[in-house]
Amino acid sequence: MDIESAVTGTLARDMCRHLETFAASVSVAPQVVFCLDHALSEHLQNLHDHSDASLSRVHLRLSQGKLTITVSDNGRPYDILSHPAVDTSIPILDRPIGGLGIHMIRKLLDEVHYSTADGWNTATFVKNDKAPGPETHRSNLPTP
Amino acid sequence: MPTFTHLNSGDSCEIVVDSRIDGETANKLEVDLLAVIRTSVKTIYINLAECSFICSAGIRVLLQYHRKMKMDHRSLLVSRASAEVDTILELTGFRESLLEKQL
Repeated sequence: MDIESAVTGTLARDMCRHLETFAASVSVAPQVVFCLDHALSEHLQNLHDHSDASLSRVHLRLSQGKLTITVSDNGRPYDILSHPAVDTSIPILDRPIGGLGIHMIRKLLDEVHYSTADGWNTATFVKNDKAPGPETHRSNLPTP
Repeated sequence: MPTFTHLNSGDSCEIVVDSRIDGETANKLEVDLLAVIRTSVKTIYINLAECSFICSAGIRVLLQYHRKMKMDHRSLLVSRASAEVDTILELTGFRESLLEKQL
């Protein structure tokens, strides 16, 4: 599935709907959709808020048990892999408030790639359909 | 734009969120929280039992006003969390501090 859209305030929500439709059509586990939904939403919201991108292209693909989302944009490059890791052991009153979105992207996915070429930035998010989900204290969050 | 239900009881208020908390909804939650904080309630509970999605902006709102309430010797806690919200609170390291301890 390929979708080209203007980068607007509703882009993240709109694309997550496309992701859910695509995932339902190829029977991806809910846990995988949960992880990609959050990662896609965080990335697109960052594009809207910080990159000055006007256009995004999203490609969704399921192949060999991996759901891959490729997001290209024409905004300012920002390598999400270069962002310092968030230290979740710091007490709540002392924790810096930024970086949570990128932290969630890294923790929820199996692979994250980022590249820039010819004025386009490309982030690639991969979630294995059979990978265990994030750690949780609940048993009712489905695990593929 | 979703509407959140406010349940007042004595000196506490529970805000019930039954929609996704994305960037736009996080702003709405912040507006609601600011209005409740201006009252004299001692404790604000955020009920996220029916919320299936919370983005980092939503977490930041919870974190920011948890701190503000704490500085005022009041408290803000998540009273109930869906499995999805519970997972995100755990992932971001805030579960222990933000989620109300269930007896």
